Amino acid sequence: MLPPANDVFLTEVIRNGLASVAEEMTLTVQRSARSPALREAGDLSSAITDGDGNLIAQGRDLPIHLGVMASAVKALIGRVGKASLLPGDVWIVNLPQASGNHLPDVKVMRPVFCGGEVAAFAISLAHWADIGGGSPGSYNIAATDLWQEGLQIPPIRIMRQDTIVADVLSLIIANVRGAEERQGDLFAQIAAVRTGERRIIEIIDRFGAANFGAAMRDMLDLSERQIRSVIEAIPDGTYSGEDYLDGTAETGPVRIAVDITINGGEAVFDFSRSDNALAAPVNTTPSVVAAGVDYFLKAIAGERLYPTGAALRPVRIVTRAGSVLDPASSEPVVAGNHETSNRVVDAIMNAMSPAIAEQLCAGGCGSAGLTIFSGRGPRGNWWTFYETHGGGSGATAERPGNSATRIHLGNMMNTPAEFIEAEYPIEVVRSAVRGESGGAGRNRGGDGLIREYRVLADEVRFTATFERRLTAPRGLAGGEAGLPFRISLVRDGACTELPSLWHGSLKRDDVILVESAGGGGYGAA
Amino acid sequence: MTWRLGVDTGGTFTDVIALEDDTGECRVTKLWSDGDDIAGMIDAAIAALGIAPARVASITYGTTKITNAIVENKLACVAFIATHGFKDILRIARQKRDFLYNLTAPHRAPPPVLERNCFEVDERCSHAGTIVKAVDEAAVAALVHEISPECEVAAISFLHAYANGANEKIVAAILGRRFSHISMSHEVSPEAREYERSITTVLNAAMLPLIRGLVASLERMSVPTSRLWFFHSAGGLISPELAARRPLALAMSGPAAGALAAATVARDLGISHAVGVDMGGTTTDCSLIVAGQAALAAEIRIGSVPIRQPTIAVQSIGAGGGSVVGYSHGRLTVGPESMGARPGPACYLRGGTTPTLTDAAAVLGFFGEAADLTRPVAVDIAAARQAFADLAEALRTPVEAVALGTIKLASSSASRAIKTVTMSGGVDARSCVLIAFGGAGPMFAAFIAQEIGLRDIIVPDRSSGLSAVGCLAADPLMTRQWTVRLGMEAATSDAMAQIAGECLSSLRWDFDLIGAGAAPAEESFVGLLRYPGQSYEIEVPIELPFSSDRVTADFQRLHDAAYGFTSSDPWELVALRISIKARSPGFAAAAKSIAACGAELPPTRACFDGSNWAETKQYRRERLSEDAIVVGPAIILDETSTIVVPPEFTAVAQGPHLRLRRLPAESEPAEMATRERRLEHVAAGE
Repeated sequence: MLPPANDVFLTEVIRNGLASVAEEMTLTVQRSARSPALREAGDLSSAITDGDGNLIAQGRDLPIHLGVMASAVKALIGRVGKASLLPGDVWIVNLPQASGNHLPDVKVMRPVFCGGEVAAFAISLAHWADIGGGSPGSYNIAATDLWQEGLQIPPIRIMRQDTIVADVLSLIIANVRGAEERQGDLFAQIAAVRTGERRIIEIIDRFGAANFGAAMRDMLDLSERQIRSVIEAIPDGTYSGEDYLDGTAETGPVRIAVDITINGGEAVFDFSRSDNALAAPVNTTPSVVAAGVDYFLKAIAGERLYPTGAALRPVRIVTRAGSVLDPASSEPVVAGNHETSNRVVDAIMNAMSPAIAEQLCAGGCGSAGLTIFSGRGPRGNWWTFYETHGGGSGATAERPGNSATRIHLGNMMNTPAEFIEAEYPIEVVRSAVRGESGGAGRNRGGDGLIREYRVLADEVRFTATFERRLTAPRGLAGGEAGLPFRISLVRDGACTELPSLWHGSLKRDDVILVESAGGGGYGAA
Repeated sequence: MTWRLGVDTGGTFTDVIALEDDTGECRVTKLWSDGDDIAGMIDAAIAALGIAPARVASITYGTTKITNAIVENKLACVAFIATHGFKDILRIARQKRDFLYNLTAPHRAPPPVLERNCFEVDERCSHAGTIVKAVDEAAVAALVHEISPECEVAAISFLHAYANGANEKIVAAILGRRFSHISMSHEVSPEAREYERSITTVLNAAMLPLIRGLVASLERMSVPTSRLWFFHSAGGLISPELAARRPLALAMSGPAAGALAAATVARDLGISHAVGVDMGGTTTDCSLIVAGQAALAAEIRIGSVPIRQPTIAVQSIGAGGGSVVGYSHGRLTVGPESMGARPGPACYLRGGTTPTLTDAAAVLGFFGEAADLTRPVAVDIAAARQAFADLAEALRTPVEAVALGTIKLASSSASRAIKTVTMSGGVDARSCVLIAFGGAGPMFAAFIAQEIGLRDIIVPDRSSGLSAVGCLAADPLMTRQWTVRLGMEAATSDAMAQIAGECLSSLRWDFDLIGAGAAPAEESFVGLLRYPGQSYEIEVPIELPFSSDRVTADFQRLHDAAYGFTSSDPWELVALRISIKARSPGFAAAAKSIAACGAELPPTRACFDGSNWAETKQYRRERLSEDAIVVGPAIILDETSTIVVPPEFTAVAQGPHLRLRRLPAESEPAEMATRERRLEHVAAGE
C-alpha cells in the first residue's frame, strides 16, 4: 500500500536534506583536521541516525565505518540509557565492544533533541593516526591483548552543556602520540557533530517533527522492503561457505565460516563454525560481522537502495562467544577491522555462489595491504607514513575484474608518489599494475598492484599488515584464483618475503616491494 | 554601427545576444541546439538578428563541445609517455571505486589511453626540481618507432615535472618528428599529484584534433575567425589559436560564462554573497559569487574524471526543465535523464510523452497565458497533464499534487548542489542572494529559495540568455596555478621574485597567443597558503615586491574569517595562481524604456499547493515600472522566460533586474509551540 504522493516526495526531499548534512559533516572534519590520513586519504565517515540509533543517512564514505556507526549509537543507548543523554553533550567512544571495530576509529556522537526527546544522533568517525599503545601509528602487530593496542575510551562525555570537559580531554591527549594533531582532529569531529545537530534541527523546524519522524520511518521501512525482496529472490535453503585468514606461524590459517539459512524474506547468518580467537590482532567484533552482512545485502540490492540501518531487520546474525568473530573484550583487534571483515564478506559470497553466482563477483584482493613507515625527523619528531594498497577485483558473469582498485568494505585512496617523496625520506621507484596476476577464466580477474619504495634515511621502522598471502582470492563458477598478496624486503640484492604481520627496522637503500593480490576469474576459461 | 556577439550553446537551446557598444542597443535570439554545423548556426543567428556580417566586430563563443566529447568518450587516440615505472598511473588512478554498494558494475571508467599506447622514458626529476636522471635521447628516438600509427597525438607527463619541465621538453622535441599535436604536463597543469596532472594532460591532448577541426570549420563562417573568441573555464576569453593548444581550457566553457554573468550582476547590485543558479533543459549549474567574483576551484570533475586546472567552481546536477520524472523501486526521481531538445517535454509537442519538470510547471499553470506574447515554443497543458496521468494513477494522487511534488523534489536536488558549492567556499547558503537564470531558472527559483531558506532572489535582465551576456562581459584572460611548496622562512622577497618571474614568463608567452594586442594587460597573483598539516588552503592576494609581513597579516585575517582561529605557526605557500588579463568593453546595454505602471494582463489561474487553484495576476516584465510591487501569487512573463512569484513572495523591479523576496513566515512562533505536541505524536506512533 503506497502512502499518499505528497508524503513519498517529502521523504525524498528530507532524505536529500539529511544527505547534505552528512556531507557537510565530512567536509567540516576534512577542512579543519590536522592529520594526513583524514585530509588526503579520507579515512573518516559521517552519519545520522534516528533517536533509537537506526542509521538514516550517510556521506559517500567507507562502508566499514558506516556499518559500525549504527551499532555505536545503539551501544551508547544500551550502556548509558536514554535518560543520561542531555542536550549540549557530546559523547566519545572507541572501545571495540561498545563502538564496533578498533581503537583508532574514534566515534564522536551528539544527541539531537526536539521537544525534550532525542530525535536523532549526529556521528563522526575518524581514524586517528595514533591512539597510543605499543607502536607509533597504533598498529601493534605483536599485541597479544587489547591494552597493548592503545587507549580504550568507553562511552563518556567529552562535552557537557556545550563546554569541553577539560579533564577528559587532557587524559585522552596525554595517552596518544602527536598531541597537537590529535586534539585538532578531535575538535574537528566535535565541530562536525555540532554542525550536524544544527542542520538536523533546521530540517525538523522546516518540515515539522511529525513529518520528520514519519520520513525517517518511511526510509527505514522502504529499505527493509527492498532488502526483503532481495532475500526473497534467493531460493530457500541453507548455504555454507568458508574463507581463511593467513593466521600466524603458530596458528596456521584461521577459518571464517558461515551457514546462511534463507526462509522467504528472512535470513539467518550463523558464523558459529569460525575458529577460536587468536592472541594476535586479527580478531574482530560482532559489529564488524554485522557490517559485513549489511554490506553484502546492500551490494546485491544495488544502487537504488536506501542504505539505512533497517537493511538488517529481516536478518539474524549469530556469532559464537570466544571465536575470532566474537572474542573476549580483552583480545587484540586492530587489523580485524579491514582484514577479517573482508573475509566475512568472502565467506558469505562463497556460501551464496551456488545459488546466485551470476549476481556475485569472484574473490578479490580483500586486504587493506597496510604499510607503515616511521622514523625520527631532523628535530627528533616522529614522522609516520601510512599507505594502503588496493588490488584486483573478482570477475563477474558479465565482465572481467577491475585492476588496482578497492573492494567491499574499504574504499581508501592512494597517496600520490609526488606527495610521498616531498614529505618523507622515501623514493617511490615504481607504481604499476601487476600484470597477469588476475585469475584466468571466461572473464579474467582484475590485476593487483605493484609499488616499490626505497628508503632514503638511515633508520626507518616498518610495519606490514596484510592478508591473502597464503589463501589466494578464489575464482567463481569455474574461474581460477588470482595471485596471492606478497610484500618483500629487498636488501643488498637479496629478496625476502615478509609474513602477513611484520614489524622491523629498515636501512638506507632497502626496498619494500608490495605486490597485491589479483582477483579471481569467472567461468572456465 | 558595429556589433559584438555572444553565443552560448546549451544542451537544448543556443542563446545569441548582440550588443552595439556605442548606442547600447541589444538584440537577442534563441535557436534550438540541433546539429553540428556551428558555422551555419552562427550565420543563421546573425541573419536572424538582422545584422550584416561585415558589421560584426567580434563573436565570443561558449561551447559544450569539449565537455560532451569527454562525457561521451569521443577522444583522439593518445600515446602517453611517463617516467620509468609509472606508465600505469592512468589505470591505477586513485585506486578507489566510484560507488559503495554494487558487486557487478565496473569500478571506474576505463582510462582514456589504451594500455598498448602507454610508454616509459628512463628519466627522473626530484620534488625540488633537480634533474636526477637525464633523458637518453637515443633511447627516446628509438621509442618513437615503437609507437603505433593509430596514435594521433602524444601526452608527456613525468614525475615532478611541475617543478622542472626540462625533461618533458627534450622528449617533446624528439617526438615532434612524429606528432604535430603534443601536450606536456608542466604546461597544461603544473601541479603536484601525478595522476591528476597526467590525466589532465592526456585529455588536453585527446581534444586537440577536435578543437582544431572546430576552429577550421568556423572558417566557413561569414565572419572571419580573427574576430572570434572562445569563453574558457576560468572565466575569460582566449583566441582560437590558444584554444587550439589548450582545448581543455574550454571544458566548462558554458557554465563558467553563466557564473561570470551572474557575478557581473552581483557586482552591479553590490551583493556580497550570491549563488548563481543556471537551470537549463538538461542540467542545473550552481556557482558561488563572493564580492562580485565567481569562486574558482583548483580541480573539477567531469563524470568521475578529475581535471586539474583553475576553473570557475560550478556544481552541476542532472536536473533541468527537460529532466524526466521517474518512479521505480518505490522511489521518485527527477533526472538525470533528460528529454533534451528532441523529443523534449510533452507540453512542447515535439514528440515527447514522458513527464518532465517543465510539464509539471505546465500542469500547475506556471506558464501563464498571454495571447499577445510570442514565445519560441507553445505550451500545451493538456499534453503535460496526459504525460503525468500514468504516474498520478500509480500513486493514486491528483496530477497537481504529483506535479508540485516533482518541483519540490527537483528544488531539493538543486539546493543540495548549491549547498555543496557554498560549503566548499565556507559560506552559509542562507546568507546568499540567489541569482536565477537559464531558461528554467526564474520559474523554479522561488521553490529553490524556500528549500534552502534564503530570502532574496534576483532574476537578471535577459535571464534566459545570461550565459551569452557573460560571453560579452568577459575579458581576455589567462589563469594558471603552479605547485610551489615554500615555507614562510624560505619565501623571501628575492625567492618570490624569481619564482613569480619564471611562472609569469611562461604565462605571458601563452597570453601573447591570445592576440589581445594593444589592450593594457593586468597581472595578478594569488598565493594558496595554509598551516602545516592542513589540507585546505587560504587564497591570499600577493603583490610584488613580496612582503612576508603583509602576507602573514593577510593570511591570519583571512584564516580567522574562514575558520574562526589563527595560530602562531609559520604558514607555507603551497601554490601560486597567476592571471593575466586585458580589458574589453564589457557589457553596457542601454536602459530599456519602461511603459507606464499598471499594464497588467488579464489574470490566470495557477496551483501552488498541489490541490487548490488560485487566481494569479499576470504581468509583462518589460512593462513593470520601478515603483510597482508585485504581490504573489503572480506570473511575470517575457518573451523567453517565465518568472513565478508564489503566494508568499513579492517582486519589484531593481534597475533592469527583478528582485523577488520571500515574506517572513507569520506562523513561525506558533509552529515552535506546537513542536512538542508533534513529537508526542511521533512517540505515540512508535
